[in-house]
Amino acid sequence: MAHDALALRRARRALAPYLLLAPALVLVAVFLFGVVNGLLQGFGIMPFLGMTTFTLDYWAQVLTRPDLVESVGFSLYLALVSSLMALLGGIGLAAALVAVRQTRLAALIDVQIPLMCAHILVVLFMVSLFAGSGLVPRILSGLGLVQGPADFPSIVGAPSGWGIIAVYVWKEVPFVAFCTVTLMDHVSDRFGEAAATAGASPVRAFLSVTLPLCRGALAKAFLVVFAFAFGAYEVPFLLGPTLPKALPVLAYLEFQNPDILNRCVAMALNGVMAVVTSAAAIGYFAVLKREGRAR
Amino acid sequence: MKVEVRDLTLALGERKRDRRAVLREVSFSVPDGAFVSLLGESGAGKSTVLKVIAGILLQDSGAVLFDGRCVDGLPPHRRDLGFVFQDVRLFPHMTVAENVAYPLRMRGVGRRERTARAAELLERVQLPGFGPREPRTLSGGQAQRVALARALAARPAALLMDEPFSGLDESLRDDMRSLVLRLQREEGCTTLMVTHDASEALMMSDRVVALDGGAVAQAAPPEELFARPATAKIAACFGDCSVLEGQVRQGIFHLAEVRLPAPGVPDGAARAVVRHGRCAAAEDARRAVAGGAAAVGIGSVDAAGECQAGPGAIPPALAGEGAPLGADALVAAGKAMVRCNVYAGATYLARLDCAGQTLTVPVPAPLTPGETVPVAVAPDGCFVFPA
Repeated sequence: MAHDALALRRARRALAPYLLLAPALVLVAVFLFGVVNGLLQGFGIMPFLGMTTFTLDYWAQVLTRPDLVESVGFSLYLALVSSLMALLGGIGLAAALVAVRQTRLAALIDVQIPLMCAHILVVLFMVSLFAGSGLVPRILSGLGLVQGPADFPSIVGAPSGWGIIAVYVWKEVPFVAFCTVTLMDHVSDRFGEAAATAGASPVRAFLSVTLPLCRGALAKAFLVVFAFAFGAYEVPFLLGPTLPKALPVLAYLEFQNPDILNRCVAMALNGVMAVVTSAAAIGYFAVLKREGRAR
Repeated sequence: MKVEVRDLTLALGERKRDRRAVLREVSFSVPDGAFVSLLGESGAGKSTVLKVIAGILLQDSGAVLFDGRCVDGLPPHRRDLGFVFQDVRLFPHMTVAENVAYPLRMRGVGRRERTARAAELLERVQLPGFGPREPRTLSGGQAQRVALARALAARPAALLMDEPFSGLDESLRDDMRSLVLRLQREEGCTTLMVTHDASEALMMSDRVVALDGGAVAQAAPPEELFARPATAKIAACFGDCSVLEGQVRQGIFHLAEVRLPAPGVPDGAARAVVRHGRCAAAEDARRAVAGGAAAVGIGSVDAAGECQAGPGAIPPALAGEGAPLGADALVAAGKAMVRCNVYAGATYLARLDCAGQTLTVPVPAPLTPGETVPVAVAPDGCFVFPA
């Protein structure tokens, strides 16, 4: 009798983790279904249209199209510059929040509000601030720094993509700060004091101790921002130049093409995006693993 | 370098209404080359004083002086101090040698000299060859030695240590204490150590500053602190003692049928601290006080008229407890009922009931619970303070 009760408890304990994981597994299953479905469509498999033959034609079509290299290059440029600037800004913001001991108001204004704003909203206020008739060009024009509001570099369709980068920087600086500020606060409190009493000035303590000890969190935040900026389409869709198009925009336009067969091309383009973002994900997990080993 | 603090006051708290006084006009000095301990229980303000001296915390008022010069305007990195933290705080992304050499690097010392000094210090803290290792591979004792080496690397004018041994096993602590004292003497470094371990403070210090509730309760050489504690808390901090609440009348502490000498203590509510090693009960008390009770002005122990005045023998059970009892040290201190006994290795400890409070007395063999036994105390192990 006692033996049975013990066996029952053992079985319950063994089963519990799987039951607790069940909701997450459902979400993962939905995600995996989407990924697999997209991958298959990229290889020409769309059973609902009677297409069941595996083909590399769409991938070949995508990889040989003349605008692909430029699109991938433009997306990499946007993602890299945005994430590097967000990283630097995020470090600065986190350091400032740590220095002022994160007063609630500062954290709310600098981190929480920007995190809550949708990208599309940021696009709207960036346009209203920087477009030809926007506030900044008019002020600069009024100050005589530019000849007229129209002479201000256009935020929409600029080949440099500065508007896209500005939106990502505004949105992701707080994200990087959010990802690192708690760790930075802890490190600064604990090891920063040790460095200061060992003769390090605040700047040297930050550079020699705090920053190196936060590099794992910073690397992870950088990779997340990079992958997002590379794969998100709405900001480059609204603010990007006609050519080259960012890769997600290219994929979206192909997806929206009235010819449903173009969906296979769109999915192959998504596949190219998935390769790049998977590399970022592998980097993320490599950082995680390294942190685990260091502990 | 002489370190001095004058009238340090500090209140801490996130919001104004939460602010609580942590330091209240704390003043003391650490003479050049001396080893001084800051002793107190948790929350007494010991570590706060250390952080104010280091410049990590800013006091509300008062001053910190090094060799008579006020250093309140200097940030921590300019105070030329070494600091050993309770939780070690070795930089995990640096090797042991890089950790030790860090203060030298911050002072612009060249790599070769840094490496040589780090190797020398690691040798002196008995960790030769540990330079290339990562801090996470060290044991607690080894890590604390590295922290000590790091604190001394730049030959600081003063060394501050915040409970440096509290995270170590008892067996390691004694080794570390010896090492710290040896290095402190070799380097001639003025040292201020925070500790809550009174025995540690006694063993290591030239002078002890006892803090209580953010204020200095007593600053004295260790012998004086032990023999003439200024407060009941200080008297009790050495452990192995009973604390009793009673009344003093005409220089005698009364609690139920227990009487303790309280010369000079005003009449009224009082607190007595009786060190275990300086009291006896039952046969030990009878033997120890035989013939001398009347001479100390305390009512003689009259349990069946057995306890007579006069010098007594040292109970063998007490020999291992605290300071050895002198042959004529004990005086009769009334009587109390045995509540229970506990085994304590070298002796048993009898718990005597004093109006609901407990007087613990070492005895060679368990006493009979419920029995009323005579009690004797040594005046030098019994301290009474107004409550």
